[in-house]
Amino acid sequence: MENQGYRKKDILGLLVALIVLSFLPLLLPSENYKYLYDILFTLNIIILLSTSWNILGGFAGQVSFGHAGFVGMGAYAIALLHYHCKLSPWLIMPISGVAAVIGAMIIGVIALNLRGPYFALSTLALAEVTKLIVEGWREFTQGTQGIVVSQGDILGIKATGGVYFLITLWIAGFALLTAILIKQSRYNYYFLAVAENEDAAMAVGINSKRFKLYALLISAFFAGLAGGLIATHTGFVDPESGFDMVRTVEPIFITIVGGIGTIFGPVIGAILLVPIGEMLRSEFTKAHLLFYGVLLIIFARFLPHGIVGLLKRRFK
Amino acid sequence: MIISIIINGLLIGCIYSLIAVGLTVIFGVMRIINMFHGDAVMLGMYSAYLLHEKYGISPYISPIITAPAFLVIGLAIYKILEPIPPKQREMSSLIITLGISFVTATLAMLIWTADYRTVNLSYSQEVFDIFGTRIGYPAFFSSAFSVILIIAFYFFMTKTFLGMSIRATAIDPVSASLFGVNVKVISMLTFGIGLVLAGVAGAILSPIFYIYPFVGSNFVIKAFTIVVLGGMGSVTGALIGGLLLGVSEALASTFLEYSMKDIIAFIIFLSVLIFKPSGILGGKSRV
Repeated sequence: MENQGYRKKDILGLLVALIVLSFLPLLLPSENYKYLYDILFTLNIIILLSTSWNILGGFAGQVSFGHAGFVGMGAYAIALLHYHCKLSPWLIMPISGVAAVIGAMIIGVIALNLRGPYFALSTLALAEVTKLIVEGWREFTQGTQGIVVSQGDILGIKATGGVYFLITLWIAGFALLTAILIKQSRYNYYFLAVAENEDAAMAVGINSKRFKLYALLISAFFAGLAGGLIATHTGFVDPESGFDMVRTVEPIFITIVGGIGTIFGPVIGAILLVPIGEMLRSEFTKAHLLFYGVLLIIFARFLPHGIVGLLKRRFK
Repeated sequence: MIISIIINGLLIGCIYSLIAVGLTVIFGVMRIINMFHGDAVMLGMYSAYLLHEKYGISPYISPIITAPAFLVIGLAIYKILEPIPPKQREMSSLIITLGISFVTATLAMLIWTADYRTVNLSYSQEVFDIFGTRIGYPAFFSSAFSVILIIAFYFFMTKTFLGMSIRATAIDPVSASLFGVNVKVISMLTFGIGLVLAGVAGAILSPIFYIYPFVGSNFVIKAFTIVVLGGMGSVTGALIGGLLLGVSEALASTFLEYSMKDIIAFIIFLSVLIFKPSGILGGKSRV
């Protein structure tokens, strides 16, 4: 097991990187680099989502096929509060995470009784059910018409690409910090035990369901935040885009290519793949999924420890 | 009124069953959940559509031509999954087949665009009456072909040596190999046969469903629902489960709201997993 000093270095490195990157909008003004900031926004969101998926799927070994559900819940929490109560999305952003946590508690009651592939499929089913409920409850959610989210100012500052970049950068950084803190806490050992062999974990007195629930709630919180940010950035949410299955598969593909169960796997995967994926996407829609998907098949089959595993082997 | 709803539900249920049969056989033998299954159905639909558009071959006949291609696809995917150690097989194959599924659907979109397509047969609009229910000829033919294929497959599994080897491998691979069954070859063939069934089902249902690249994900969830409902690995269970799902969907879309039609499959799926994980037949039947 890695020691505490190593983790301290991780935290320090993360903070330095965040602070250095925070100066980027000063060097490259948002007006001139609109496309760049769109890509950087996507990159940060994917790091956030992949880290969220990794905490549940990598650390605790519970593969979720339902992250699109949490993203959708977060997006709709913001959109509905904005639409019905006229609140600025920026003031209520944390609520998107909280809404997804509440949704995850309900989903957890059902899905956490199941294991392995059945857990994965039940989260997929529950995400779809949530989407269909949102679609069907027209009086409250406007159904397939969708809801417009106007962004407004953030405490008097205009919401430009650079501002979005800074906000998503620090939220993604916060998710990574959470992942580091989990890794160095004793919870990591509980998660590992549950991931490796749930029966054995229960036999030594670990309340496996409780730890699976913790991982699910932390994961859902960050996925919900991602949903709220996406809805605000796009300025619009409808059931199709809010609960898009792509939000489930993208983090899975990126995390596995980067290195499942490691802290920086999702980051490395995202930084290496997303820029190429986004360039391909501008050629034709969904081409980025083709690219990620092919890499996923190759990595899952031949290099299950991902890019991080490759690097580790190199430098040992 | 109620009779006509049930009849229509049963007709669609037969086709659902055919999709699920392939999935359940693959699960029974290999213990893997094949997320690619719906996309094999999608490929079956497109191949039937293209053969009908270009050469005027009826979608009820074209599976004879396309079946070998699906066998090859099945063998190729099996070759990708085969070397995964048994302990990781369940989860790794789930994720890898999900990847293959997305790659296939995206490729289909690049090649054939996202347009909705339909197979227009000369008798597409014609109907006949039975118990006061109007039934379209395509729906009737598709269901009839599905039932015939399921029955034929049932006899294949119970009466032929190959079928019995597949069942033996599903029950206990070690004992089966002691009795001279080549478990590796059987697993590979099972995967191929499962995908052929999916491809044939796609062709058969192409006259009554819209065809588009991401259509597979609709079928894959329904097929999983049927598989857990009928019991993993059971052919008769898949037939009964398919009919039950078809009728429940038809009833839900009439008496509740139309949007409930899609929720019902998920609700059945979750309730079976939670309350009766062995399926309605109690998990005893293995055929």
